[in-house]
Amino acid sequence: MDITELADACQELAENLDEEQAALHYEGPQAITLGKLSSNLSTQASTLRTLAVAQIITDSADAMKALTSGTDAAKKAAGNLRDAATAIKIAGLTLSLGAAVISENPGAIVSAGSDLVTAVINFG
Amino acid sequence: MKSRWLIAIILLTSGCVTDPGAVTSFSALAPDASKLHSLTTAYADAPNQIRALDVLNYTAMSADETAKQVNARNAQVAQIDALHVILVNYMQSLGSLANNGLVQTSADTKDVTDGLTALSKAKPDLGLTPNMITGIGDLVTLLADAATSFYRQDKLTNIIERSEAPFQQLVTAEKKIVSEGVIKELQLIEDRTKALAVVTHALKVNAEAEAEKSKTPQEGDTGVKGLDPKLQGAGAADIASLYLLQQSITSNLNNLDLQIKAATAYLIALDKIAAAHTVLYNNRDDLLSKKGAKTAISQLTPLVKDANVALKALKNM
Repeated sequence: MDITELADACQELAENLDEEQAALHYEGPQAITLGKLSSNLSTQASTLRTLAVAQIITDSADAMKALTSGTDAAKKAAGNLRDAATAIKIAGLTLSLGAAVISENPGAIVSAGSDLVTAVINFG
Repeated sequence: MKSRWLIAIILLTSGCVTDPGAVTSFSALAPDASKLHSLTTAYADAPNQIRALDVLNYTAMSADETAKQVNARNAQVAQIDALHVILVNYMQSLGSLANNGLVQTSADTKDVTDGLTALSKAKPDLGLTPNMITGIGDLVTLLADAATSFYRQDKLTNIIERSEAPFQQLVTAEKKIVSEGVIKELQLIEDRTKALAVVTHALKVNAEAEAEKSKTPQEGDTGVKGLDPKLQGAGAADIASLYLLQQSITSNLNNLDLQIKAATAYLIALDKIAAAHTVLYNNRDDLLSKKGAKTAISQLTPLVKDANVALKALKNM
């Protein structure tokens, strides 16, 4: 019997005692005894449930780690796709810079160079 | 692996059109963390509720022990939240990876054609014609689309494949926490509340009988046989108080009923989410092609619908 089953058993017994009291209307010491038994069984069931939930959390540690690894891989892949897009952009800007250098236009060289540097910095 | 290359070739020849629909509809199912949190906080507070319902002081658990239980459970709530965030992050990360908007290849390759155009003007002897530049741009776009589509599909296949088992384990864990922790605990409170209702009813009947007999309902011995003398001496004859207590019990039972229904709806949603991931897993080799997405979506649609109905019911509660 695991912790959950033990908690269920305590809770079921407490419910049975409550139903017994509600149906048969015990009085005096009998009613008090039944009430105490039922109340304490409920409390024990609750305490056992705390332990059962703790066990579920502990048992989930490996799965949590594995799924986090899956998430990290998905994020990394998305990052790589963004990097690929940036690489294409950089290739285009490199061509523009090359064109500006060939044309010997200082303004165009500075502008194209600046765009390329910005793209490379953002890429890094 | 051969099938992945085959997919890459198919993507190349079919214009690299991808359909992220199956993955994004799964991703959109990620349940709002506040829904689970509202249930787990009820679980955390349950020992206080159980103690408050023990009006006859029958239970042997001290106030300190109750506080320890509540503290332990509050710590668990933080851990359960963390577990839930892992599930949600995973679901959302798949949606992000599948998202076509992540890479705008046609916009990105415009930089290449702009660069080539500038180059052709700066150095005409290269012989780059506008048609050639457009052709190169189209080719770059096609290759970039093919590469990203293949890469995206390859990564999704791999990630979904290795995540199926842990995803199912964590959903099962969350279901157990809700069914074995939250629901059972709410039912326990419900039972204690009903037990208190029985006692309160007996007290009220007795008090009303005494009031009728003496015409002075606030005085005299109105105790109920079998009940703790402390309670009998604590003004149990106060009919108005008993009436209010009964009202409070009814209201409490109604709230508990709603919370149990909400938790049950959440379990249904989790079942559907788990099944939806299995659909992705079963179709993992071809989730992004038009045909593959259509197949997966047809299997996902009823699950998504049921999960949304359950989550909506939960929200309404």
